[in-house]
Amino acid sequence: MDAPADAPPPLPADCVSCKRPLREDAAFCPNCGHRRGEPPEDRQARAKLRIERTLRQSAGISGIHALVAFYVILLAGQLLTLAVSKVSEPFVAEVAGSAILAAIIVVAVFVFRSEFADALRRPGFGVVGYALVALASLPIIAVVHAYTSGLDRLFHLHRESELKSFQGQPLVLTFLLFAAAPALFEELGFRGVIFSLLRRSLDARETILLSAIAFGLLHLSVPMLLTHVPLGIYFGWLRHRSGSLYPSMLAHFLHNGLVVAAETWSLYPGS
Amino acid sequence: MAPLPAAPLVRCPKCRAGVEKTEKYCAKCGAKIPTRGDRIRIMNRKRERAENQQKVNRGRRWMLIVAVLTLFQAVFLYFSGMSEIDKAVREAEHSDLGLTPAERDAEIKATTGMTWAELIEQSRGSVRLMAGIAGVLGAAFVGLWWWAQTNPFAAALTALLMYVTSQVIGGMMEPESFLKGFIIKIFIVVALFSAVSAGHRERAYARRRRA
Repeated sequence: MDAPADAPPPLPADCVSCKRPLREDAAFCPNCGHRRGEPPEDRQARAKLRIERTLRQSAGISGIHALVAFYVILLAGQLLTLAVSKVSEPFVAEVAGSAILAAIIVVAVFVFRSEFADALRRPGFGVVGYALVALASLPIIAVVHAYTSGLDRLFHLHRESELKSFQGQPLVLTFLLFAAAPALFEELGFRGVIFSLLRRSLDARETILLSAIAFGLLHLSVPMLLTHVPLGIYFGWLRHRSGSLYPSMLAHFLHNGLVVAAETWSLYPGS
Repeated sequence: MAPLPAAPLVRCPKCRAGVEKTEKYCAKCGAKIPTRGDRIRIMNRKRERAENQQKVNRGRRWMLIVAVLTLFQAVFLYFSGMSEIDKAVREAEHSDLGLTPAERDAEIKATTGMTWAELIEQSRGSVRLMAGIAGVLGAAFVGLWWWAQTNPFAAALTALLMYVTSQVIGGMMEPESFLKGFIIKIFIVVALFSAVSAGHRERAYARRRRA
């Protein structure tokens, strides 16, 4: 008598994975845990996966040390800038500060380049996305301006213009040092190095929040935390959403550029 | 008559089926039978978990201490700052420099560019701002203390960065205050950092389990 055509094939007598004989009633191999009747698994692939996972995990904790070290070095750089500003002309201090920050970040970018190489390779958004980022910078700068001037009025502060040290310098230089350089280096540092180091062990939301807090704290001004943390969250969200560094660079450049434009207007009214 | 199968010596932890001692997996449900090594690993894991929890708790305790101190500092800054300004104003208004109020206002205007009333208001504003900053910082540490219950790693890392930065800003404004209580500050940084590492280890463990 023939077996019906749709009957399942007889179960193998030996385990297909480790070749040991099996008891008749066994659903799993008692030696390697392989489910009877399933194709043999690729042991090499599994071992490779395990090694990769172990490597990733050991990278996680060293990532935290690297992150804290990078943060402390940036903080020291800011302190050095302040020390320079005590003994030199404001404009010289401004240039020195940018140079110190840029030097630290260039070294860090070189060390951790493999972490976010893909973020530099990707274009991020299409034309429409970049246009939206550009448009969004207008309401954002309006809110930031309203907030800072409101703070000044609330606490009766006579805060000096952030661009005071650039007074008398060519506008191109101001743009370069106040808008272009931060957009490039701060984005590489915060949305590049810090973001990727945090992303190793945190999920996206936590990464965005913590990189924004680090970004806000490193500006060394507590009232500015209230603008820079939300701005950092926005830049971090752009980085996460697009997978690229360029949208947040554009947003950062436009923000600082609009500050320059607005302050130039008020420093030299009518010019 | 066929020989009787060897008596099962252990039971599968998942389905309770009998398993021979030499077998590594349950033939019925495929669950891994814990070996001696596994049991030791589980024990070690329990101990490690307790240690990490202890480190996180220590970090949280310091967060709370920093929060309370900062909030007290906010209150102190406000009242001492305000009373100092009041005292200075009283002294200035009753001082006998031989100046009429108008002359005095003119001199203040010449040196600071502000009227007398504006100068007072600005000083009060900066006291309010300093106290407000300390208050916000203290409140932030309370928030971090709370957050560290559910997410010790992210909260402790934020607390560490915030604490270090606030100390640096404070040191910039008053260099002598940076060295005040320096040993306690070192303790706080170390405790926060060990809470960061402990939180991170727990997270890595949880991720390993999920994978």
